[in-house]
Amino acid sequence: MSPVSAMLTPSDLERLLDRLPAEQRARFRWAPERFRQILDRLLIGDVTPEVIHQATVEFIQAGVALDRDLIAARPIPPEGLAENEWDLYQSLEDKLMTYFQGLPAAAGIEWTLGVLRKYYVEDAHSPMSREEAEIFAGSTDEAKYIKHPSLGLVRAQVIFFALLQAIERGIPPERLEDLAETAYLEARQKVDFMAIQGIDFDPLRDLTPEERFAKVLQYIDDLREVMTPEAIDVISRARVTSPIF
Amino acid sequence: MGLYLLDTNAFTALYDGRKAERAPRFHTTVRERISLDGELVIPTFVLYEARRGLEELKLRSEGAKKIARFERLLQSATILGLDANNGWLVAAKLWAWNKAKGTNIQEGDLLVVATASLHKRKLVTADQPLIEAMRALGLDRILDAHLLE
Repeated sequence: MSPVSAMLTPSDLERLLDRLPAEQRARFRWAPERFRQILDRLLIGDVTPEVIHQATVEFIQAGVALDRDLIAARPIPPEGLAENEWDLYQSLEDKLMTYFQGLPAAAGIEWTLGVLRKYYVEDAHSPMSREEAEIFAGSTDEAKYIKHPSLGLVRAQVIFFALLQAIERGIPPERLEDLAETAYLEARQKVDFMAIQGIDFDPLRDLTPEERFAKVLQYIDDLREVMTPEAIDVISRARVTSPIF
Repeated sequence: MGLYLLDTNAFTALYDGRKAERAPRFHTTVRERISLDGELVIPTFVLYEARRGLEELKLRSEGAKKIARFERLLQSATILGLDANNGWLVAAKLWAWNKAKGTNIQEGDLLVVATASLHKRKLVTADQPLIEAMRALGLDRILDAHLLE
């Protein structure tokens, strides 16, 4: 998303706004609460793909409105943006990984965070990231952004923000595992799509063979834990059984 | 260069708790084989079969937890196919040979065996009809046969 709001949770945003003069602070008072309302929809009721998409679209709309005004107010010097994004990313990673430590969903969170890091921080000057930044710098037209190829990553990111909101409210991590895995699946889909275009964002490729194999063994054990006899039967029945002649 | 390639039964044995209980030795062997290779290697065709099952699970609205864990395992595997080095010719020759000999390898199994042959890997399997057919075709050199126990 945009340089400023890409890594901001509503609480981060409140802290950032506290640094502004009172007059400017009043101008942005709407923003943290608006983001909280949007994220709450991912914490209550069925989280269908439609709910995720709608929440993401509204998050983007609010983000565009905020960025336009915030950049105009210049609370952060432009040269400090990259450094600031890195700090915010680190904070996002630390909070999520600490909370989900020891749970299998941590594997999906770790992978998705690796993708976000590559996309927003390490590859910030890639053609796709640059194009995305240009949309924000030159336009208030969020419709253009909603069609952008990185939207799957933004959906994952919005889910992560909802997780952080849940953490702040003390919801146990076990109850948030499905939501965390949904973020992984959203990011996975987008990474696969980008791989077809020749852009590789899969963080597993950066591991040594030993590290990668350790992940394989972990993934096997994690899967075995949840595969019910019924699910195994579905997989077995999907086998190709046609005779050759 | 790696040594082994898993067929669908061997791949399933890794995550099927019932199979691991009924055939603990085979489960242990498959784990040993992938550890020797230092990677999980499956043919494109096994990936295709697994993906068919996964897509059906998605349609049944299984929770994200199960789908995501399955997806992670599939994405972490090394996939070997038939698209390079005349692989499809290898498969076609195997099909003709299988027909001439009157052995009865199923279509999917034939593609898996062709993949093992092309990549010079031993096929880890406990599928007894397939083991017998491969032996009848003189393919012992690419066979890592086990009993389902």
